[in-house]
Amino acid sequence: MRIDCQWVSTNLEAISCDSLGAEEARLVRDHIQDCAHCRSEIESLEAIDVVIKKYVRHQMAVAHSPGRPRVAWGYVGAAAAVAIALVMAVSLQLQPGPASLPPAPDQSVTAPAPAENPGLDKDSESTATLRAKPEEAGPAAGAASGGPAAAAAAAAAGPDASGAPEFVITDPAGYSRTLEDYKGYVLFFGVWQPTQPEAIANIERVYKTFGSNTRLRIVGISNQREANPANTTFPLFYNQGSRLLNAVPGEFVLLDQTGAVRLRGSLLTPPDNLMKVLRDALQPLAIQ
Amino acid sequence: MDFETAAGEHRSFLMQIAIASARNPTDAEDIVQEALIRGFRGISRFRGDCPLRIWLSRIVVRVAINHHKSAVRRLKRWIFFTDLETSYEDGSVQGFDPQDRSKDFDREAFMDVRKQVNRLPDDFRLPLLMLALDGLTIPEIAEILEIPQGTVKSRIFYARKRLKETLGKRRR
Repeated sequence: MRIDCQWVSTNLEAISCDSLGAEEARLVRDHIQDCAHCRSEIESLEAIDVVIKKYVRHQMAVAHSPGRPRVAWGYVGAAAAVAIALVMAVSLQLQPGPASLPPAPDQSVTAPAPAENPGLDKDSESTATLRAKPEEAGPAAGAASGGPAAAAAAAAAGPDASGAPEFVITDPAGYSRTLEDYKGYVLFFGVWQPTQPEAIANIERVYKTFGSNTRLRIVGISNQREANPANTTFPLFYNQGSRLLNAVPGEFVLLDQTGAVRLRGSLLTPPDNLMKVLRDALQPLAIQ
Repeated sequence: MDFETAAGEHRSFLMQIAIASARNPTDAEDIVQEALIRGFRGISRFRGDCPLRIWLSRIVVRVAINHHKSAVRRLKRWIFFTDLETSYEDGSVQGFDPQDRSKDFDREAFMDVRKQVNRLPDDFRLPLLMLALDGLTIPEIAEILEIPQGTVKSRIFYARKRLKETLGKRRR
């Protein structure tokens, strides 16, 4: 058996936990003696212990120190309470009226919005103009029932009157995406929840069929953070409280390269129907 | 032996455990006190399958974690830490005697260590700090935290690794 730097770095945990066999431990010792890099790697880990020892000793000194002055936390708490009350009073006065008061959960999801505002505004504008156009009759026709006037109002009001952005999703690593990130691609997104195995299976089927196409993006979106459903490979995203173009769990939306909605429908249909509908919709977009 | 004498005997040991478990050393005294009260109340549940000091240590660890979780204390601690960041006035400084500082004690580096240590999740922080206590061995840590010895070792490893990364980043 040969022990090199790579072996040491991959087995650093075992080395530091003393869980190596006698033979391996001897080989590692030999290697460390010759290799300055691995030696410094291990020594720097051990150096942490020295720091921690010092830290703990200091904490002891603090804890055992007699007669340390105590801050009167009662006063601090009272001050904090007064400050909070003041802030609340001011913010309540600034609210124009209860009707426009966004529901509490939405408020929290708008928190990341300011940083992305320009993008979001553009998004909502593009979807607003899109709604002004006569949309294909679909399950979401109701969304466009407001007509041009409502669309214009929505565009003027920024993201939305309810305060929720149009489309912000997060991948498991925590990076968020907006429609802006999918410009130039055909986007298929399906919204699912754990109680809809058919929807999950359908998204998976779509991904298996069309996923190899580089100009098409397929994502499955859940409203809560969910674990990967069993036997699925499609990319999983979480909704950050956005309206997802009014798609509810069990529905899918297909957008073309410009971000315009091409097709909406239910994921709770028999797979063959769904695939046929999708194929017909993707044909004009030159995606097989 | 009655509980009181036993408690008196183990008090300094428990104090150590509390200091390692608490994120704020000034809480340690309160934590030990509360743990002893709980231990006294629950002594009938002590079956004697481990040493009494280990049993009491478990209570100390639990109390320390809950102590930190309580919302009021979190607020306090937040103030406490923001104070510390900007001024020398309270917290550690109160117990901080000058002869310690003469030993080339880099205060800023220390604040950094404290911050990074406190950022570690409890699962990793506790074994690492307990190992630094005098006379506490891995088998004992495993018993106090009620996890296998191998887990203690690997958590210590990951805590070291993470501290190495975070502290190294700042130094550069």
